[in-house]
Amino acid sequence: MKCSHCYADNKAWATVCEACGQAVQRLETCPLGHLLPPGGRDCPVCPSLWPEVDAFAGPALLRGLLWVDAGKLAEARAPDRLLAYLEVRDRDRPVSLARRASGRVEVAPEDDPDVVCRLLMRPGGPRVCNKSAPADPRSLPQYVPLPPGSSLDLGEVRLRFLDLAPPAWAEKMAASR
Amino acid sequence: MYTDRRVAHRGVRTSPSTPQEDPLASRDPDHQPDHQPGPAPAGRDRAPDGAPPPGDHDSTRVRPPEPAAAPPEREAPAPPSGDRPVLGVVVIYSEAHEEAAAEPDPRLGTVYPLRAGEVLLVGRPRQPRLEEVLRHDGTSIAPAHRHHFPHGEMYRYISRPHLSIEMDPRGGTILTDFSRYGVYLRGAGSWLRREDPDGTPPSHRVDGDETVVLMDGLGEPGDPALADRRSRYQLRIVRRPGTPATGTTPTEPPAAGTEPTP
Repeated sequence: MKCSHCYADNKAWATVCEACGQAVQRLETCPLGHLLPPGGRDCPVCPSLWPEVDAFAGPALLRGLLWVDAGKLAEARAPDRLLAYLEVRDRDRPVSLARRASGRVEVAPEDDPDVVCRLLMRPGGPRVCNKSAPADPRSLPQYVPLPPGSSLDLGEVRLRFLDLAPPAWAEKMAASR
Repeated sequence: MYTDRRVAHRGVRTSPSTPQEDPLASRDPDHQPDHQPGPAPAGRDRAPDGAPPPGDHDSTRVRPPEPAAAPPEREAPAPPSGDRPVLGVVVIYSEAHEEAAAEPDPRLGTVYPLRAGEVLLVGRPRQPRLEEVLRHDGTSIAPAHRHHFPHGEMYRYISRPHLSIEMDPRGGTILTDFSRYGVYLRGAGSWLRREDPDGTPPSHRVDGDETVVLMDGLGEPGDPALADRRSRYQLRIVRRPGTPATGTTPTEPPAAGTEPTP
């Protein structure tokens, strides 16, 4: 580690410069190995990381609903219009949910800095990457299945997934496109 | 309260129509105006018992338009729908008559949200268009949503109208059956049919979530040979979680002053 006072090279674990005796600030990393800024505890990289998703080109088959059990849900482009539910349809890009004020979540663009959760809907069933309640804070963000009837907790907002189980002919039609 | 005499006691009110207003008459060979039933078509157009095709049933017959009358007296308008909570939804996977304008494709699933005092009318399109349908308490209402199946073989035995669906804020869902062959409740395992085809359309209360199949007169509800066909005209009723699943008897009109406030 290079001393910021005399620029001498020190060992990585050194706390005092061997050349000038000045205190050397240790390099700190987040659980995923990203370098933390001096004095900072929050990783500047991790919040921006999202799992990669495979491309999908099928039709938007309706597979379920996300009912608002608690809190408020709206779309970022129409924030005054509260939603009772969100249609969950097959689609290429995940649905991004941004946490706004207390008790409020909005369906937002993917690059919105407040996005805390992404929902990926595919023929195999919905998968969710929820950063507000990660399964393991030390692991990379990843999509996990959202079972029918289970809840998605985003702070004070709770969404319940209802599986609609489309009829076989609709599944077949969607698969053939 | 509605006082318009054009609200037929048999359940429907229609808008006046002229032949020029009926675009289907020139486009759809299957289309047949209800008020001018022609000779019964051959083959599967005819009901198995020789009765006229569904939808031509007397309960849906159109009354001739009457001269313009004074505007009917009505209750104060309901608050804007956006201010009232959604009590539940009805989900349908099927072709729709208005398919060209629908987005996304209704075969991929359509969700109809229902608030207090809102009705979804399901059936095949008819001319003239139904303006109001009878409710369980004797009043009539303009449907908030309509799902019209297309003309053609697949939906030939669906009545026009077939069923109206209303969610009760006090709990339960009210089905009013205008059809010839009734509806089958898949969850409850019961086939609801009209005892008196000429009488007032009966209403039924469904508790909680239910899958409703519009019956077609082609066989028993559980016939596996018809399962795929019938999955195209089945409706899934989903009550919003946390709302009451059960309520009062549908045939019991609400007492004055006790109309639920959403």
